[in-house]
Order: sequence, then structure tokens, then C-alpha cells
Amino acid sequence: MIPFILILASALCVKGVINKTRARLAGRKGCRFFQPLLTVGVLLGKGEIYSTSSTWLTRVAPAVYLASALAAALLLPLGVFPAVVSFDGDFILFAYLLAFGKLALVLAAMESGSSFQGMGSAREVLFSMLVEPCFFLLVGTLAMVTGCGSFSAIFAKFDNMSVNLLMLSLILAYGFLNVALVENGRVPVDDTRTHLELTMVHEAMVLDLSGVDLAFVQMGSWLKLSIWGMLAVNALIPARTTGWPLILWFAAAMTAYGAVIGLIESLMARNRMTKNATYLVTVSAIGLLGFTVAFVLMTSGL
Amino acid sequence: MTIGDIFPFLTLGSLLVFAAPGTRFKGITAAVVIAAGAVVAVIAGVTAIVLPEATGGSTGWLPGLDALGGVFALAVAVSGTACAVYAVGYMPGHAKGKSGAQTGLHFASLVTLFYSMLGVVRATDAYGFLFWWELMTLSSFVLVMFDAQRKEVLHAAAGYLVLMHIGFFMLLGGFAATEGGTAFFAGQGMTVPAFLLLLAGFGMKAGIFPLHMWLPVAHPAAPSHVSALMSGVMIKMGVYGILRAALALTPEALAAMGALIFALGAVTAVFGIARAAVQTDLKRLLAYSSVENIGIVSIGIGLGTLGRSMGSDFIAYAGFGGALLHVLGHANYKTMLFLGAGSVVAAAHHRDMNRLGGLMRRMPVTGTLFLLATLAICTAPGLVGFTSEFVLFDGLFGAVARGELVAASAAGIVALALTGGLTLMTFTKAFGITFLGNPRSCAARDAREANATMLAAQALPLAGILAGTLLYPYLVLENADALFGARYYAVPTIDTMITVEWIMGGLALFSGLLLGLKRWLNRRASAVPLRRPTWGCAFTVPSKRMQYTASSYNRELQTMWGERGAERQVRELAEEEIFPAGHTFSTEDKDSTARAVTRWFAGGLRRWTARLALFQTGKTNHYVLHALVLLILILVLSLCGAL
Repeated sequence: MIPFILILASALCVKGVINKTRARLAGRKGCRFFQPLLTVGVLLGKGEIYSTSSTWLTRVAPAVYLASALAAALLLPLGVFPAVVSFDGDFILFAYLLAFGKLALVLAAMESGSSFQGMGSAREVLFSMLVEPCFFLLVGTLAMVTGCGSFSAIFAKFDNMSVNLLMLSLILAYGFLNVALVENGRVPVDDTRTHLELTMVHEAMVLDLSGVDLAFVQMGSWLKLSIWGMLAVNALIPARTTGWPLILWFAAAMTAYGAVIGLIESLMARNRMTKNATYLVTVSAIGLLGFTVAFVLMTSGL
Repeated sequence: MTIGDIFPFLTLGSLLVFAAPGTRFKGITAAVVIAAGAVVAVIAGVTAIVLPEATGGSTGWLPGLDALGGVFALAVAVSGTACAVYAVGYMPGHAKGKSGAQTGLHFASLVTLFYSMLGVVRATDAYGFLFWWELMTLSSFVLVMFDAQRKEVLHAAAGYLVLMHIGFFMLLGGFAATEGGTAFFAGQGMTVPAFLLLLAGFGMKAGIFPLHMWLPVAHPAAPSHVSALMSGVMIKMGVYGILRAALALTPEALAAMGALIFALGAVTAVFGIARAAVQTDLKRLLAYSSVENIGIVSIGIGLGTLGRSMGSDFIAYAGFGGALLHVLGHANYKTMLFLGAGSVVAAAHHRDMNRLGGLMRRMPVTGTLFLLATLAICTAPGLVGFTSEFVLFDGLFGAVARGELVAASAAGIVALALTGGLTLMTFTKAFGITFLGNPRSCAARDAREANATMLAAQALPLAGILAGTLLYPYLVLENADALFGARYYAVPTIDTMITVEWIMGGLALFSGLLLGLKRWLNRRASAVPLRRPTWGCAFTVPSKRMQYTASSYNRELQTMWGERGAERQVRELAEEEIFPAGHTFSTEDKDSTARAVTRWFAGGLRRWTARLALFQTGKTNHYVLHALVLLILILVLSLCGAL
């Protein structure tokens, strides 16, 4: 239960960390730390406007999106703290739960019948398709190194304190960070703050949502941000830590995760849309690199 | 209890159809005959799987049906019934202007196709097998060319017939080759040459890359219930053959052939779905997606065979088990998708998605059913599509975790992951562009909901999609011993699936709570939500033509691969007119692989026949000489005792 609560708690903060980092690097004071929460609070008090071309799908989809992110969060452990639900192959369910939420959101977007939403959906599914092999390869690497079949068992057993595996741990964390950037629509794949609809990916999909629906989608996005962060954190935290030190490690690593995203967003420009495919294949190559390194380490008798 | 041979049923049923008056009654007769067979097939199939020793040989419900055949009989029964019932509602509208004999022939062929598939899975010798196989090809050929007045239909049907017969001769060769026939039915001792011939022959039916060229041509040409039956189960007969041949392989051939099937499967899956993702024709998209699913099944068969070669029960269990689960699941949801596409085509008169749209509000039930099948094919957890993919992924990850077959498993994981992502892309397009948004043509705007019979038929496979998540693992994985002789019960998959169902139940409940919360937050607003046109970037006259189309949806995917070979543009301009009045513009998809294979084959054939044309001089005296030479040859040979 502890990892789940930690994910929920960090979901409320990561966005603030990113904003603060970005503001500080730009020499601004920045908005309040919990400003995203206040924005969503305002949205929760508003009513929705639905497109004339929409059906029940648009009304249900945001709730399904949030619920599926929450269900995926149930499957994540933190080091030796096991996940709420855990079974052999739970990472497959994890990937498909997030895909299910995405499917719901894509269909809701396409219901609006606008080309912006169509554009956003097409890009979103294309990018997540290209990054999916990376996620599975990274998890496959972990499964190979530990010989286990579920997230909880893998991260409880993943011993990154030996010299060889420390390197692997860094590659994995970097890989998960990249998957997180793509799945959450952050720079360099997508820019959440872009003002031009033609260059939007994730934001274009939710253009026609309003009120409570938009609030649900925002909350789902926070959750996804910290879910993917949780994977990177799990790869990084030292093995065999437990109790309060583990929670402190988590807090430190999660803050670092937010700070790194903020840093990337301050220092890098968004890719040209046509270059994204190449970039994403490179991300998958990181997964393959991790896998190959682990394979060589395993066969050379480690 | 024995029902005896099914052949009387078949002849009786086919003739009954001709006797019935009118299209509707012909359809009802065919549906009743098929449903009767389906009930027998379901009972026989399930008993054959669950109690294999009690039904072995000729004592079961269907003589000759073993556990493996039972799985396929189950798939045939569900899809066959759904398609036959659908035809009752669909054909009266579709068969306008056809004579009673034509519709009679159509329904008789439908009955024949259904029973010949059951015949294939229970054949116990090569003659019986090839007889039913050929009958299956011929009856499906008649079904495909129902609309033979259209040129492309005739073309597709003829191509189908030719390709299937090339495949047939390969099967013949495979059965005739050393140990081919006996090994296939005895389940042991299959040699490599015989297996390769059988793989090519069965692969032709199943649509394994690069022999898939008939699928995307024949499926759009056939009436929708025929495409559904062919795509849902008939191509699975090829899988049945491959599976049986792979299970019969000699121990020394297992590793190489397993790797071959695995690699072919991975290529077929990625290729099929990548082609499907760029289609704009709804039925052709579904046809390519069937190619992809056959690829996934082949990955499973290959993995199972590889597992067998290494003596790893776990890998064999996951591979074969995943393949069989995928066969059952795909038969359900692909039937549903094709039937849904049929209703769309019947209502909106277009297969081109660029001319559809907004059908969810005009055909809510068809749309909802299509959505459920879409969710299943996109492997939404809690539906049947997830089960098979889960077992396959679990097998691949398990192999990696055990340190066996690491490189191959990693390749399989990447292929399956890419396939999964592209499936999401393909089917959000198929559903989103067809059913959501606003209509892109007048025909789509005026579309009406399909009739009750068609809806009921479309809803029939839903039972499999919902119940199959738990039922199919029980049937296939708990009886893995009888099916493919591999046992592995560390954690029964069915337990995992129950956990997944609980999570999905929780997800549904929580979504419901969120919707309740939304209603509570909106309590002060009016009961009817505010409806406004979609925001069009402050553009004052937004047009329905400005929506994203199917072509635009896959635009970036196409640019990723480069424009080459993506599509061919067809312009038709009236040239003789000084002021050209109307002109048409269309883009046509081009499958360069299928084209290359066909061209290579046809080119080779032409070259060889050109050489033989040496003898065709056109002079009578030469022909007389040929006859004389032949006679002398016969005389000499018989004198030598060679004849």
C-alpha cells in the first residue's frame, strides 16, 4: 500500500517541482508550487460543454482515463515495499492498462470531429507505438537480470549495488526517463506549453474537453507523470534499503526526476515533428542497449 | 452417444436451401442447418478437449475429432452461427436482382463451407483431409464471387482460386512426401522437406507473409458475412495444419523449424499490422489485420516448437497455449468486426473510411458492438484479446527470465510490442474515423441502423469475447496435456485472469464513482449538458470536409517509411471534352511485397511457357511430326518394357 500512497502524494507535487525548476532557470519567481492543483480545483467547479458531434463516449472517457492510471499505479512497488496487486506478468497488464486509458482519450478526441484532435490522436498513438518496444525491453532486461516475473519481485531483488549492475541501473533509469518524457508528452517530443495547435500532441487531444472532464484528464496526467517516474526511481534507489530511508530515497529521487524534466524543458527545444520518429527509435535503442549489456553480463558469468 | 457421420447433414442441408422459397427463407434454412451443426460441434469440441480419452477414435460426438480439432471446431461453431444468422438479415437487401438459383447457390455454399471446415478438423487420413480441404476452397470461392457482375470481384475470386490450388498442390506434395501423410495424422515423425511443403501450402491459406496476397483482395470483394467467416475461421484452418505438422516434427527438426515459424510469424505480424495501419478501405484494413493475427499465432506456434526442441515445458506451454487462445479469441472479435463493417457498408454504401464518419450517432448499437470488438483486438485487459497476448508475453518474458532463448524472445517481445502499438493506431482509426466525428459523405449522413437480425448476429460472438477471458484459458491451458503434451502449472493463467477481471471490475466501479462525482459537482447546472459546435480555431465556417480523415491519420506513419510504395494515385479525366465536366480522383493502396511475389511467380511461369512455345510453330506438318515422334516413343518404350 505504501508505494501506492507515495505515487498519489508525488503526483500532487511533481508538476510543481517541474514548474519551479523551469522558473528558477529562467530567472523568474514562478507560480505557486501547488498552482496546478488550484487550477484543477477551479475546473472542478465548472460545468462542461460538449461538442454537438459527441456521444456518451466523450462523457465516459475522462473518468476511464483517470481510473486506468490509478489501476496501473496499483501495480507498482517501491524497492522492497510490494505493490498492492502483484502477479507473474503484471507489467504486461501495466502497459495495457495505460494503453487502455490512452485508447479512451483518443476516441473521445476523435469524437469532436476536429482536425486538431485528429492530429493529436494520430501523433499520440504513433509516438506511444514507437516507444512501446523500449518499455518492454527495459522490463525484459530487469526480468533477465533478476529472473523474476513481476514488478514487486523484480525490484525487491534487483541488486544495483555491484559495479556491473550499477551501470545497468543508470541505463535503465535513463531509459525509463525517456519513456516517461514520451508518454507524458514532455519536451523534446511534445511541449505542454505550446500555443500553436498544429504543433500540439497531447494538448490537442483535450482541446474540446472542459470543466470536470478536463480536471479528470489533468489528474490522470499527473498520475501518469509520477507512475513513470516511479519506474525510474525504482531502477535507481540502492538495493536492500528499507523503512524510512527508502521513503527518503524515494522523495529525493522523485524530486530529482521532476527537476531533470524541468531542466530538459529549460535547456532543450522541442523536436521538429518529423524528427520525432527518429528520436523515438533512438529511445528504443536505449532499451536494446540495456538489454544487450545485461545479456553480455549474464552470459559472461557476472 | 454417436451422431454418426456429418456428411448426410451436409448434403441434406445444402439441398434444403434450394427448396426454400425466397431469399429470407433460404437464409433461415441455411442458418438452422448451420446452427444444428454448431451445437453438435460445440458439444463435441468441448468434450474432445475436456475428456480426450473418452472421445478418442470413433466413439465421440463427432468421430475423429481430437482435442486439437475440438478447439478449432469451437471457433468454427461460434463464427459460423453468427455469420449464418447475419446472412438472414443481410442478404435480402444485398441480393436484389439475383435469381433464386443464385442466392440458393450462395447459401448452399455457406452451409458447405461450414461443414467442410468441420470436416477438415476431424479428418483422420490424407484423402479425407484433402477432400474436405478442396471442398472448403471451392465453396468459399463460390461465396466470394457472389457479386461477380463487378469486375474486381471476379478478379479477386479467380486469383483466390488459383492461389488456393497452388497451395493445394503443395499440400499434396507434402502428404505424398516421405512420411508426410502418415506423420501428419499420427502426430510424429514429420520430416523437414514434407514439413516445408505443408508449411507453404497451409501458409497460403493462412496468409503468412509473403503468401498473404489473396487476403486483402478477396476479403473486400466478398459479402461481409463471407469475409467474416473466411477471416474469422477459414484462414485458421491453415493454422490448424501448421500446428498439427509442427507437433508431428521429428525431434532433430524441431529447433530449425521452430525458429523458422517464429521468424515468419514475427515478420507476418509486424508487416500485416503496418499494412493495416495505412489502409483507408475498412474491409481491407480488417483483412490485413487478420494477416497480423495469423502472425501472432505463428509466433506462438514457433515459440512452442522451440520450447519443445529444448525440452522446456514452460515455453512450449506458453507458446502453443497462447497460439490456441489467440485462435479462439481472434475468431470471435474478427467475426464481430467484419460483421460490423458489413452493416456499415450496407448502411452507408462506402468501404472507404474517408467517406464515412459520424455513424455512432446513426447506428448506436452497431457502433457499440464494433467498439467492444475494437477494445478486444486492442487487447484491453478484461477482454479475450488480452488473455492470449498475456500468455504469449508471459512465455517470452519467462523465457528471458529463465535465460533460455534470450535473443529470440527479445525479438519476439519487440515484435509483439510494436504490433500492439500499431494495433492501437489501426483500430482507433478504424473505429474513430468510421463511427466518430461527422459524416464525410451524404450516404454516411443518411445511414440507418442495421436490422435486428444483423445486430443479433453481430452480438453473438460477444459471448466469447466476454466469457472467453476465463473460459478459454480453462479449456486450452488446463487441458494442455491433451492438446499439445506440455504441462506447466506454477500459477494457472486462469487465476491471473481472475485477478485481472477484479482489477478491471474495480476500474469500472471507480469510473462509475467518478461519473457520479461529476454529476454531483454539476448538480447546480441544468440536467441537459450544454452542446456547442466543436471549437474550430475561431474559424467561422468549419466544414465537415475539414475533419481528419483516414489518410491523414496515417500520414506520419507513411512519411516515416518514406513515400515510396505507399499509394498509387488514379486520376480519370475525360479527355475528349473541351471543358471537362466531372472528374474523379482516388488513391489506391499498393502492396509491393504481394505484387513482387505475384510478379516473380507469373514472370517465371511466362518465361517457361515461352520456352515451350518452341514447339508451337503453327505448321501442320510439324504437328504431324510431333504425333509421329510420340507414337514411336511409345512403341520404343513399350518394347523396352518401360511402360
